[in-house]
Order: sequence, then structure tokens, then C-alpha cells
Amino acid sequence: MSFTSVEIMQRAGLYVHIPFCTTRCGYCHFATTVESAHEQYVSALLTEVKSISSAPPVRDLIYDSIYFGGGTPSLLRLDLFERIVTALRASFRIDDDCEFTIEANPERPGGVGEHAAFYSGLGVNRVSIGVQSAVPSELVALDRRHTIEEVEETVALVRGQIENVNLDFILGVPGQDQKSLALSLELIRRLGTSHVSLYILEIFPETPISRLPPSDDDLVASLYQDSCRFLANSGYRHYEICNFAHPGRESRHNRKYWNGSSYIGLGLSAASFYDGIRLTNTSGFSSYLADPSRDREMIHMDRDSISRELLFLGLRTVEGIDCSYFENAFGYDPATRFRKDWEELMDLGLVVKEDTRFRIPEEKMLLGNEVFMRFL
Amino acid sequence: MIERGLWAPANPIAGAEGTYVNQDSIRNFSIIAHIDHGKSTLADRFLETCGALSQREMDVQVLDSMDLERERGITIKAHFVRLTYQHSSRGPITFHLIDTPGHVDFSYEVSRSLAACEGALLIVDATQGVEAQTLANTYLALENDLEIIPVINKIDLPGAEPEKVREQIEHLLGIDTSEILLASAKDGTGVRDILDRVVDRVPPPRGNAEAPLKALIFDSWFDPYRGVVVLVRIFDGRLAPGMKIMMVSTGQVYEVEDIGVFTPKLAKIDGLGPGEVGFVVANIKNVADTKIGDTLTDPLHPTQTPFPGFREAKSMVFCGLYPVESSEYGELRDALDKLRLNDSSFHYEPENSMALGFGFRCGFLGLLHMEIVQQRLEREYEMRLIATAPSVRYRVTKTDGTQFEIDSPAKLPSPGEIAAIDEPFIQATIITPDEYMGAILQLVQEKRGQQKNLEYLSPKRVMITYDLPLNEIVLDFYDKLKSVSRGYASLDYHFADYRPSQLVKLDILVNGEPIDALSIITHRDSAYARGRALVSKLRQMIHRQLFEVALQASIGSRVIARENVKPLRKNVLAKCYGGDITRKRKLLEKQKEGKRRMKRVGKIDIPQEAFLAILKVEE
Repeated sequence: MSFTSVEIMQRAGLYVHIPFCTTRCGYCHFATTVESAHEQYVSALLTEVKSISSAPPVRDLIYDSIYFGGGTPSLLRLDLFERIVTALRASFRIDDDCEFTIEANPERPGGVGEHAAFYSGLGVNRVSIGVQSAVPSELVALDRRHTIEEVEETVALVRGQIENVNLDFILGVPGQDQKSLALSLELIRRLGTSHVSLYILEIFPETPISRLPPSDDDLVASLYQDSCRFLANSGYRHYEICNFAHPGRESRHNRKYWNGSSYIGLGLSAASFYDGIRLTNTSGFSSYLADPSRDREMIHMDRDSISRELLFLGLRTVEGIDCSYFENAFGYDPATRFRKDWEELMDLGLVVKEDTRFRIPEEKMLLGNEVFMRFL
Repeated sequence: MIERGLWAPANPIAGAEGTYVNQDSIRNFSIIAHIDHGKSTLADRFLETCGALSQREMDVQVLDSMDLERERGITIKAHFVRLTYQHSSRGPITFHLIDTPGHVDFSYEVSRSLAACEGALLIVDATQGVEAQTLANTYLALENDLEIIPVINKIDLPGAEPEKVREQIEHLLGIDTSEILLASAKDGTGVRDILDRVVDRVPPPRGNAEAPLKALIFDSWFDPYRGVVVLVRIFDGRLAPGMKIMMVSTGQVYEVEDIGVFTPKLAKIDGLGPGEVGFVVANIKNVADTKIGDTLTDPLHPTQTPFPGFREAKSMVFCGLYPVESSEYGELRDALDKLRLNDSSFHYEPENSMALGFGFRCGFLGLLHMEIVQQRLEREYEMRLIATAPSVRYRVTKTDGTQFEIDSPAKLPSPGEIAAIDEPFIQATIITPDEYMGAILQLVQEKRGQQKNLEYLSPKRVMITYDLPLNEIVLDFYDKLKSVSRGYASLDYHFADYRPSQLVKLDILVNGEPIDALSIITHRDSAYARGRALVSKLRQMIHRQLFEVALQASIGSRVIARENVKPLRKNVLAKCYGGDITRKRKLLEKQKEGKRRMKRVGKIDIPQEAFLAILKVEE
């Protein structure tokens, strides 16, 4: 039995974490490794696929998205990649109409561009490329090794095989300003991919980039508003704080994180959510190799915590949250329960109400935390 | 450390002959020393020399017993210890070493502790020289006719200049330099010489065992298990468990339950005779009933010569204390009630602030006392507090001729109704190496000081005496003095008198609304500079809100400074996918907790420390 009515209606997602990188980027805080123990890792991953896919609620779900994230999944040896895909298809009920994304870096040669046909043959139908910036000095600050030429070539090669492409960019890179941002936005327009993600650089202590002077918040806020305007004029729809897509090309997989769908995360540090449980795998590489279930954190969430989490996740999206949905799924109307908060938030212009929906208007999205923390 | 709440079983004093100590073999003395001049180390040496504690027990400096005191390196409450010293020719001598607070806030307590003694050691650091508070306390000892034994400590240090320090002591106190002992408490040099000198020079206590009981209360505190514990020095008569005793000031009568001493371990004894010092437990519930300086006597045969009597603790410094969370008002009141059981020298009364809601106006002996009370409320009672800027008591004469005193800027009438304001002045003594004299003179001038005296104690050490308004002292004088003298200047002060001054109330407005808790009373000439500095400091302290915040300083309806806090434009967790949700949620919870710790005034979150912004401004 599924935990909420949402899960019955909506299909689940599969996430596979591939923690390998050639080098570690200066801003990275993810579970990554530059060790090339690919075979060992995949063998542990397959163990996990086997054990988790046979568990009752996981077994019965139908999956309509697969997402290989990292790290750099495109660095994984192709035969190993194929082994994982084969195992997934054998172990999970995967819908024929499945969005299948792989993250990749634009490095050449030997990158995702050259192997696009291979990936496509395995069912990959979406590629997310970490471009980050079109400005060489910003790429240096971010510790990225690719050139703009490599980006353009990679995108062209991929799109020869796989039409649906996302480009990741970063706002708030030390040294970034309106002028340099314009170069990145221009690249986005030139490439015209179906999806763009604009992440605001979060500086984590003890990452190398934390030693550079941080960008001014006001500047970042202006860059964000400039970007939103530019992307809207270029035909992109802003559908979540950091995500923009041509209509109909929103990431099916990522939406599951914000709308309460189930997802199963496989691999180092990956997180799952199903049946009211949040599971998080260990982020210790050797622990994971020894036993993928070692040090796995399991949180049983009560219905109320789930509902409040869905409020703050749902408010990340342009549609916001629908109170009638909460009434059906959780038996209360958020408009009534949090009346005072909504009133204050509306007073401040941080949310607007439309029929049964509350949403954060685009120009206030960068103040999302001020809204989210109300529902913890 | 002494556990005061811990009551050891009855334990007769080893070596005591009979119940009472032979009067001629008693020596009562205290130690006068500046912070860090080595009082605690020396006291430890005395304990060690008298075999009072094992080595393990010596690991802590036993005379400082509250955590807070240890941290600050000062002693707030007077304690005492009874030691037995084997003198080479006179045999066993009973010492009562009475500890004194070292801070100007507690000068009355010091004077009462000294009144319980016949002698005092004056300890001066050989590398530092005489300090202002040491001098003030030495004068107090002289007023009490105590035998002063000067000791120059830390002679082992490379920077020691005992000759210069000798010169200062001679200059200030007229003591023949040949009388001054040299010691190093650290390595033990001179410790026996000091104790021998105490035996030789400090007179044994006088007093008649057959006369009616006359005992001086010089300290008291609240013990949660036994009620109030009173420290007394017997002058005449005897005191034993089961006896009835009476407080001369109130006429209240109690029955003595227990008597004892600290060796420094707590030990019950059977009685105290003339000259002896000990503690008394008599089922007293409230520390306010045992006033320091009061006389304890026999209700049936009261002494005909009681001590002049206690002095009511006079609050000199005031501030508002408010709970961060308005709902914790009751808890704050309970905490204050309990704290007052232990410290009757601070006062509080309910106060209502437009900005902060319900709280208390509290009065303290001085700035240190204020800080100690706040910290105890926060640590021992886990209160989250907002303190407003310290203030003093002003005398206001209205245009209709009525006169009254105010201890809070909020109580100041509007300028049109005020005919005159008088403010308290203190006389400050500052002792400093002469290289800092220029900077210090400039500082006291800025603070509206009036010079009284300036004299060299030795070629490089100066004593400056100034009259200063107390309200300048309570704001930031002490920190500035330390900073301009690199910590070398020492300060002592006492109340002088009230003088008329051109004072105005400086208000702070946030988005047009006056925040009463941020108002201060200041001299007209410095109001503009203060207002600008305060508003600029507040701008740094108040976090950006979701809208622009205007900060203004005004005198009456005249705005004299303005700054804006720009609105917040970015506060978002950008990436948020499956693996991030738990961590992001924790970050949001942390942010929420941070907000909760601020005080919401109107729609604006103001951090606790902003209410003390005036103490942090650089003018």
C-alpha cells in the first residue's frame, strides 16, 4: 500500500549516483571521488539494486524517470554503464515512456559527445551538461577545465543523437558581473537547448572557493533577475527557482522531488523517499563498497512532517501549492492552518494567492527561505 | 572547590584546646591586592604551609569558589579560612584569613571584611606597581586601624622592579621601605616571612568573653539546604549552638543551629569566642535579613556598643532586563526572586516597555555587579535576556517646581516640562604608567571630567584624580580607559555628589516609531556625535529585513541622524533535490532558530545585542 494518495497517482523516479570525477571542482561538496574503482563500485551498486528492488513498496512502483547524476556519470566505463541499465530494467517496473537523463561534463575528446549514440541506444533521452559559465576567468575560479569550444562541440554532437539537453550554469561566481553574465546568457541563446538550470553558488566552508571573496548578495539578486528576464525573452518558462525549460520540457525527474512523488536513490549518498520513509545512503566510499546498506540513515516521517515538507518544496515551483490537494492527501487546508503566516507573507508580497493556490512570485523567489521556514 | 551545599558531619577542630581558641594566639587578617597581583596563589601557599590541604586538593585555587569568580579571576563574596600555623617560638597560631572582593562595586563589603580583621597584607606586583583599587582598599584598612604589612610579590619575574614599587608604597602610604617584604608566591619565596610578620605585627584580637555577645556580620549567602549562612567575627561574648541570637538592626531573633569554620573544608565546631571567625546557621530564610555590617547579639543581654550599623546597598547603575520571549516574563521574575535570596544588593521592579513588553528595571552596585547578575541569570537560570543600556539616577526639577529622581530615560519628562536636571558625579582615581597619561587626560576631558589632582608616585607612575559624571563611566569609559592604556591603567571611584548638567534624551526611531528601550540620556554637547554613531552602529547590527528599514536618532522632534538598512534581496537554498532535502531542512531550521533569538519589535527583528549598541559605538 502506498503511503499517500499522491504516490498512487504519480509514478516514481530512479536516481543513480555515479561519484567519479577526473578532478574535484573547487566549489564541490558532493560525495565524489577521483579514485577509479569503477568495477568495484558498480558491483556494490548492483548488489543494492538487487536488494532494494525486491522490497515490497519499491517493487510495486512504476518508474517513469531515470536520472544518472554525480560526480560525472559520463566518465563511467561504457560497459559498466550498460550493466547498470540492464540491471535496472531487469529489476524495476520501468514505464515505456521513461525520461532518462545522464549528467555529463563538456570535456572532449572521449566525452559524452562521442558516445551519444551509445547512450541513446540504451534509452538515454536527456543529457544535462555542466557548462557553469561562458567566461574563462569564471571557469578558472570554479576549477573547471573545459573551454567554450568544447561546450559548443559537445552540445552539437549530443543533439545529433539526443535532442533534449539541459545546460547547468552558476550565478554568483566570484568576479561575475552584469557584463560577464551577458556572455553566458548569450551562449545559452546561441545553443538554444530545451532546458537551462541556473544555480546560485553556495559557498561551503573548507571548499577551495571559500577562500575567494564572496559575491555581493545584491549583485547576485540583480544577476538573477536579469537572467530570468533574458530567459523569458528567449522562450524559456521559469518553472522552479533554478530551472527554466521550453514548454513541455520541464524535467520530469526533478519535479518528483518537489511534488511528493516516490523516488529511489541508488549509490553513494543517494536518497530515497517512499512510503513515508526517507533513506539516505552512506557517503563513505569504502563503507559503500563493503556494504551499500551500511550506515544508511532511515527517517520515518509522520504524515504531518511530510505535508509540511511538501509545502516548502511545492512553493519552490512556479505553480506553488494547491490547498485542495493537501485537503485530499492530508486532511487539512493549509490556508486555514497557516492563516496568519500566509497573511504576513502576502503583506510582504512574498506569496500571492490564486483560487486554492499559493505561490511565490518570480521576483521574490530569491527570498524563498523566508517563506519555507514558516512551515517547518 | 568548596561545595557550600555539602554538609560534612560534625568534625571537631584538630589541635583546638577546648571549645574556644586562646585569644592571644589568634591573628585575623585579609589580603589587599589588585587582580592578578597574586592574591590567590599566595593564599594557596598559606594553606600549603599550614598543611590545610593535600596536594590533590591544592590543584585548584580554593578561595575562589564560584565558577563565575574563577573565570573572571576575582572574588565576589568575601570568604574566610581558618588555618593553624606552627610559629617557631610561639607555637600554634590560629589564623583567620578573610578574603575581600577586589572590585570598586563592592567597596562597602570590603570595608566590613576589613572591620573583622586586625591586620591586612598589602600585595603589590613587582612588575606592575601600585594600582588604584589597591590604594583605595588600603585607605579603607587604615580607616579601620588595621596593621598594614606591605609585600612586593612576583620578585622572581624578569620584569620585576621592586625598588620602584617600594618607592611608590613609601610615597603613598608613608611606610618605611625597610618594612616591606619581598616574596614570590609562585616559587614560595618569603611565604614564611610573611606569616611570621603577621604573627609578630598583627595584634591579637581584644574582647571580653564574659561581656554580652557582640558579633559583626561581614558576609552571608543563601544555601539551598540550610538557608542563610552568615559569616561573623566575634568581638565580645561567646556563641554556641542552641543559643538565641538577635539582629540589632531588625530585632529579629533566631536560634543558632550550627556553628563552624572552613579549614578550608567545612567543619562544625562547638562554639566561637572573642576574636574568632566562623559561620552561623540559624534557620534564616532570606539573605536580606542578614545585612552586612549589622551586629549579632544576645536578645536577653544585648550589647551596649553595637557597630554603627549596616548601610543599605545603594544602586548606582540601572538597566532594563527583558525576556527575549515575552512569555518567559514569569520565569524571569522567579529567577530574579531566587537570585535576590543570594544577593540582596541588587533591586528590581516591574517595568513596561513599548518595544520590549514586560520586564524589570534593575539597580546594581556598579557595572561589574550588573554584568555578574546578568550572567548568572543566563547561566544558572538559563534565561534569554535583553539588557538595555546602563543608566544612572538623575534628579529632575520640573518647571512646576516638583522634584523627583529617575533611573530610566523613559521616565524623563518632555523637554518643555524640565527646569533642571542634576546628575551624579564620581571621584575617579586612575593610576597609570606615565606614557599613557596624555591619552588618558584626553579621554577624561572628552568625558566631561574635572581635574582634581595629578601626582607622580614614582618617576614613571602617575596618579590622576578627576571628577567625572557617572553616566559617562557606565557607558564605555572603562573599556576606553583600558584601550588607551593598553590595560595598564587602573581605576577606582566613589560617589561624589550631584551636579546640574545640560542633559537631553536621545531617542532612536525605527521606521518612524520610537524604540523606548534604545533611548539614552546624554549631554547636549555630545548628543549629535552619539546619535550619529549609535545609528550607524545599529545599521551594522540590524540584519537586513524584507523591506527597507530607516533608523533615526532624534532629540525631541528634531531628527539628528539617519541611516537606512537596505532590504534583504537573497535568502534561498538554490539546489534542492532528493539528496539535499534533509540537509536543506536543517539549514532552514537553523535560520528559523536564529530569528527566534531576535526580538521582534513591530515587524522588525532586532538582535539582542543591538539594545546595547551604545556601548559599542566608536565616536
